[in-house]
Amino acid sequence: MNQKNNNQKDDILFGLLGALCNETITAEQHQTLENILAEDAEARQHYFNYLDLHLNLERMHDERPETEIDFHLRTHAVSGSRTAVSSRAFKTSQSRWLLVAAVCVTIVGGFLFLNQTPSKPPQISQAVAPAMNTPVAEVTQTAAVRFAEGSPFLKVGSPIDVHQEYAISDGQIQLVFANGAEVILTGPAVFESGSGEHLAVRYGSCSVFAPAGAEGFTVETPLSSVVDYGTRFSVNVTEAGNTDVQVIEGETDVRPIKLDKNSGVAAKRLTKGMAQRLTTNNGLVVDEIPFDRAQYVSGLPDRVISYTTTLGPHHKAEDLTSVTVQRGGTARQYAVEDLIGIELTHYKGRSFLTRNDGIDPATDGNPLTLRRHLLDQDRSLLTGVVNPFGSKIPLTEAPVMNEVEDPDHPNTPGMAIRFREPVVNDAGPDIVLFDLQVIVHTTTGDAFYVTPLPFTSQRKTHKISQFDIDLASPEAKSLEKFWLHIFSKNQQSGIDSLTELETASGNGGNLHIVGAKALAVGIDLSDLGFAEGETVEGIFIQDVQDNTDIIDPVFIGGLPPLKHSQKQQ
Amino acid sequence: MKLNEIVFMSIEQEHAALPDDLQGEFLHVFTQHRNQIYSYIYSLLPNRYDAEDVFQRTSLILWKKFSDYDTTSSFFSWACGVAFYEVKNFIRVAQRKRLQFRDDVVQQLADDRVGVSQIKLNQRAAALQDCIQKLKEKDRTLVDQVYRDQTPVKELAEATGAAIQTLYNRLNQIRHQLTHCIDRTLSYTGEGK
Repeated sequence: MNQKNNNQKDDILFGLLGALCNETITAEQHQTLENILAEDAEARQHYFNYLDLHLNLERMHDERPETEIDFHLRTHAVSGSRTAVSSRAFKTSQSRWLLVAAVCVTIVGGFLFLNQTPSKPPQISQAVAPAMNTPVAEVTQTAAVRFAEGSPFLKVGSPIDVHQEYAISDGQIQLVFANGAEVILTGPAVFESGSGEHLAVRYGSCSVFAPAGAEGFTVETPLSSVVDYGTRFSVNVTEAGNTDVQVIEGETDVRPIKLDKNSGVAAKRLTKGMAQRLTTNNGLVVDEIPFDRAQYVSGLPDRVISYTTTLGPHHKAEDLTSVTVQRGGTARQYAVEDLIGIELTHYKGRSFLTRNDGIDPATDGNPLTLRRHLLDQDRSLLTGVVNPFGSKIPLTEAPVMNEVEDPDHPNTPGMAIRFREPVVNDAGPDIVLFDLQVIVHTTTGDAFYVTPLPFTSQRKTHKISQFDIDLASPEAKSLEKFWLHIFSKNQQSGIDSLTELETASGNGGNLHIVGAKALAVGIDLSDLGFAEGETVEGIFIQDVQDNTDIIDPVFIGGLPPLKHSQKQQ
Repeated sequence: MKLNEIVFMSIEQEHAALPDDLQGEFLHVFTQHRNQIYSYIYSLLPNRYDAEDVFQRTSLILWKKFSDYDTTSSFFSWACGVAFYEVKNFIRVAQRKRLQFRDDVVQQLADDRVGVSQIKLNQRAAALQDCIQKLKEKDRTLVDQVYRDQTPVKELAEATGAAIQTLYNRLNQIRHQLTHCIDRTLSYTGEGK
């Protein structure tokens, strides 16, 4: 869409948002706004920002600082407070708060007054509220993270509470502190925060970026405090507490702890390219060590970060609407219609999935609907042509893919898709694949081989054994119910060709009782032997026959080249 | 019967208050997230009166159910879960007496909204403070009259002799201008959208 059209679209949207906030919106305008919000993720973001602005303008004018809010309980008849709070005069957010405070305090005391004048000693006030966990930072990203037994579970948006110990056994997690400091912890790691400017790392590695304004951010380790002065640095702590500090940019002070009151090692300021190791050997020992830039993690890996879907009757995921992928270090959100579509061109496997209506496209009386469309012409994460056969070893030659099986020259087990336009090898993932995974199956997702088509000696088969969004990922969405159809010709040997996919008898299907989630993985063409800028026409997929679980592709799409990617998060 | 009255009837009937040790905790954590929860509800139900009703109902339920809250998880996420179903109930009962979004749109908005971080919201709120200072004095006055003094736009139009639609249009332009200013401020500081 060109700039002019974008501007017109924005003008329409902002006109509607204005009418909404002015409370002058007509039914017709409301309908238009509803349609825009239903279809356009970017418009929804504008909508949230605009409504927040509207509310913030109210709050700027009507709120006192929270610390001034004080309320007191007295034993009195309820009538006063009830009269006060049931009035429609409570229009501002401050009064909303006071109203809710009244609600809560009413319950606490049974009978009370809400009194903003501190004339009597309070029975309950914020000042005397018991200490409880206070968020000092927030989780902003995770990648293949696993939490250690007993540790609180965190996901994107979770607060990091003060004085709460967290432990990750694997993967990575990014935190942003109240002062703006960004920290990436790589598992296994154990950490705890004491304030919005402090992180204690008991074990594991962490990389800190402290932008302007975050100076003074301190990483405490068992043997030191590392105080930032506007920089990038990494800290690596062993189980014994030994600590390596590497300074990538700027300056930090490394302040060794005093092991006893009679000894002490002076603090040292480290600058760019310096590294230090703190160990214990009959006292604290500090050594200069070679600088190793690789210790610093500047960002989480390129991967599929998250996706959005429509919701079905049980509020579970159904159709894919967008996918957010980190490519070249930048998160980009793609609406499903912006992805490059596919055609299924080969299939040798065992089954297909349909929606909860159980309708088999081959027997629905409509010659235009085909089973292959369950994968290549819908956005549903419940439907697909699944359980392709596979191999224990990767493919090293071009697969045989005849429309009809030739017994003298059998088709290669697996499935092939062709992109509707070539997919360019760009930074990070270039293809996204969604797998339906029953919740009791392998957590990491069903391993599969992916081979580029057409296959040449310069290309290679790549094994994917870990999904970016796997069963344990907080971003994996539970799916609505679906039906599994197995070809009745021979439920073990399945069918051999694309022709049979459309003609073979199914077993009529069964409602799948056990729940499933949609997993997602990004495929980087570089892993298949492509240079940057080279294009692929299609891919061949084979299950890795390492267990009884078989890959269940329910959506595959190509990502547009980055130069055409407009949306960034 | 108004929802407020229902709420307070419920309160009188519900003297099964939280244990003492949880009361303070609730007030503390609720205070921290109240604006965020209200914003969440308002984004699904963008009508002041409807949103306030649902906010009250949600607050009451959060209070009553607080002992079920898993303190190792996000309070805001938990509160959103409660608020979402209150919004849905409200829409169902109200049967679209006012303009309300259809179910799938509410769901989509809820999905998107819960992923917006508090830190981003705080950054936008902080940027607004600066942006508002950059408005022309006449525009700042209009914002003050509408948002601080809560003067109905109709009254302002009558007092100034301006057409009411002219004032609405001006308000729209000011909000649009502030939105752009906030976006620009955050992109300069590398925070993006």
